[in-house]
Amino acid sequence: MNNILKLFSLLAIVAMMFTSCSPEDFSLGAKDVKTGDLVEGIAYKIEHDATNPNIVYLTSLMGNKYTPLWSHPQGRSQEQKVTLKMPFAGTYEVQFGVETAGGPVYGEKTTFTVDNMYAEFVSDEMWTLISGGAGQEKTWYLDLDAVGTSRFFKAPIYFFTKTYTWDNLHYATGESYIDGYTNENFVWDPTKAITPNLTDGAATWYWEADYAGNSWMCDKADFGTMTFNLKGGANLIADQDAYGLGKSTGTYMLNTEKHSITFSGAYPLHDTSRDADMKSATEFRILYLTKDAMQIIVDPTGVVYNYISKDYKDNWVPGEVVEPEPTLPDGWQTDISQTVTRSVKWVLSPETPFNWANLDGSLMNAGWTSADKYDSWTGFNASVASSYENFSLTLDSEDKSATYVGIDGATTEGTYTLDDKGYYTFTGISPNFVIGTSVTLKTSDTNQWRITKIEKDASGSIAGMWVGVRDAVKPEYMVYHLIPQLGTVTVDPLKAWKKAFVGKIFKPDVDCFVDWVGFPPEFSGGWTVADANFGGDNYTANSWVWAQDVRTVAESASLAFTLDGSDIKLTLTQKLSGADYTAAGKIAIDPDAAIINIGIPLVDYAGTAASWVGTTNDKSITGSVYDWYFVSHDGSTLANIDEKGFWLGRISANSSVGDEKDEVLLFHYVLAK
Amino acid sequence: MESLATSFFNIQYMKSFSIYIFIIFSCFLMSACGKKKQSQEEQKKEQFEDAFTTTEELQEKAIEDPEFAKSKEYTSQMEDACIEMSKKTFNMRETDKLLLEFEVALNALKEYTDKIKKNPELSKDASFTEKIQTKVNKVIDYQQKLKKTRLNPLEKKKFDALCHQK
Repeated sequence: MNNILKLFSLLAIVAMMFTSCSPEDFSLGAKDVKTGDLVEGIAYKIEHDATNPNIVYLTSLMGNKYTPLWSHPQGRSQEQKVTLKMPFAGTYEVQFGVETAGGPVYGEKTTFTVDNMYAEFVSDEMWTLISGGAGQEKTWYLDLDAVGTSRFFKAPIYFFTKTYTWDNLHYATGESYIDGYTNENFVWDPTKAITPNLTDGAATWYWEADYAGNSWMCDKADFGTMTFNLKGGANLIADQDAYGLGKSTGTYMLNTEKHSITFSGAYPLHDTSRDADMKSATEFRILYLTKDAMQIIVDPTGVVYNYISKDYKDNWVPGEVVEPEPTLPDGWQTDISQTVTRSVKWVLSPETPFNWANLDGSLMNAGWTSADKYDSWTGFNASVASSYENFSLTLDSEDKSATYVGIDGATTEGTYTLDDKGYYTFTGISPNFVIGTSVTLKTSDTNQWRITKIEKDASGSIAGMWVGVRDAVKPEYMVYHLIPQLGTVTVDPLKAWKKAFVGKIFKPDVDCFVDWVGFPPEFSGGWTVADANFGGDNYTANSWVWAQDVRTVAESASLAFTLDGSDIKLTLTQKLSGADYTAAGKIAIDPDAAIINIGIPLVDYAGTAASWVGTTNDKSITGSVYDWYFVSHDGSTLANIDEKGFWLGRISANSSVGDEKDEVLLFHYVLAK
Repeated sequence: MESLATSFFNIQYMKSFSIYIFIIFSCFLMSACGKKKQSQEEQKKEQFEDAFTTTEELQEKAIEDPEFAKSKEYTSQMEDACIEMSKKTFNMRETDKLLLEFEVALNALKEYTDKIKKNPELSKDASFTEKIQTKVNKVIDYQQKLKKTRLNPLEKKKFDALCHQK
């Protein structure tokens, strides 16, 4: 019996599942109320308060079966009884409707009259914020001007789910969802709103679009002014005559409890493409209001207009933005135009032909140091270089002639100028071709390139320059890497290195033996050189790295460079844990990358305050822990090594392996006296 | 009664069968929920990509046709597409949003670079290379934002994969 019951239960569930899946009937029911039924006195009543006739009650007489749909001077309501607090004398319209199974049904409009002003009803702060107070006026602007500047908001228009209200966007304590604009520590928590709008889905959506990235929202313009006053009534003068939307004068009414606003005879400032939406709006609600700024949402579009007060606009001072400039080394003009002759033939680097640069010239993708390091989407790899091997640009600084050879081998003659800021301006030539598949090498609309960076090799000779075109919107340059082609004479690539090192002994610099800088190739930053309290006899200011025991080891150490056949050999001597220590190893130098591979660990500070500084490049990103960066730090080069010494760097922090930052630790060695 | 004891309706059989059905049903439910969530994410991504493509097409049309660029039609269609994009990424973590935008921008670029690979003559078409450059600018924009964002290992892995996807 039990089993039979179970079987029947199972069948019943299956049957229920089938019936629950049957199609639903979505057709509307009948309208059981007609327009003629919704008459004042029968369907609803309008009454003035017995003690204060400026208080008007709208009451539905249709019973709870019907949801009332009121349209009145202070907006729209769906309550059975609505209380209106009317501050001004006048005749006002009311329309009553109800929601029926067949849809909404409205009655004819009717009116009520208020005979006298009641000032108490405009004493709420909202009236003062919007109009300046009784007897005053206040002018507002859309927050965008003819040059495209928004002063308080990110744009003149934001986009919201149309149901948003003031209470969804404010705490009971007054803070609002955009208080972060003026207080960087403020973080909006929608769960703490007066009425949290936390339904999981589309109802919570809103978008604070920025104008710079979304200029399609409206053309930049002076949109005109709107002036709210409380002079003999609540009046609005919207002057968009110069903008093309005319000038109109009307009235407005605030509902200070619901934060809604109604307009009659005039509309708030708006843009031309949404003029029709504004005029067919069913409701306006204020989402944000301070003495400086105001937001009004237009229902049903959900478009929110952002306004600023005249006072705010007039007193707004733009933040001082000093744009960084590329810093070119002293004598750069001579460097790039005078080598052996005054004519320099530039070609596009086969390894690093392009990049993007910040306004100060630093490369935005510093990791793109060879063809295999480029992101795939750039379309560049080692095989692409052959496609532009014909390209060259020969610039003769004597007669200012420019010879451009395109990637197809075609030669074009022209001229150029070069100004003090590093701008090349070309006439008669205009380099333009695609590198790979994605990036186009070209000059600017005014046929210019700006030098953003000049590179020198370890011997101080020009190794290349980055030239580029500034982006029209973003603060950056698209840059191309030109390298000088100096002929085909075979020279020993290590000649300058051997001249700088061989036969010399260097010692750790006891006045400034270490520094910290950024990653290659920039090695930007550093602080110890300029710190008077670093090194020397001061063992307290930076005792975590510089102490008497560190100095003792530093003074005991020396690096002697000798020639072993055609190779450079390094012999290290030092006191290690009090005992004499010597090691020797061969040196291999990559002159292009300025990397020195030293076959032995360098000075060991074991047992001292600097024991942690390391003896090898144990976080190397080049593949060998014996690779050291030869860094031109504090103006040092191979050419001035006798005066300035040299800096060897090892990776001390690498964010790609979990460290907090990218950092290179430099050791400074100076010529032994 | 004896035959009932050995039949399918035996209480022991029924218990085992019920447990078996319960486990199968639970597995089915979990699998269905997982698939539904994954499918919702994919659908969201597709919708975002569609809207992104629409904005690109509209912007390209606006560049070619200044009259269209000034029209209410352009504003309205851009508004619809951008709102759609915003809705699809609303409440998303900033990093997830950036990764999605980066991925979609890369796909849009790839579509064009594939064309140039098939037809290298297109590299001489200034209007075509201009369109590619616009797409490259979007990609580098997202790439730089992501490079400046602190990514967790999974996000970093995804970012690196996107940078180097063929």
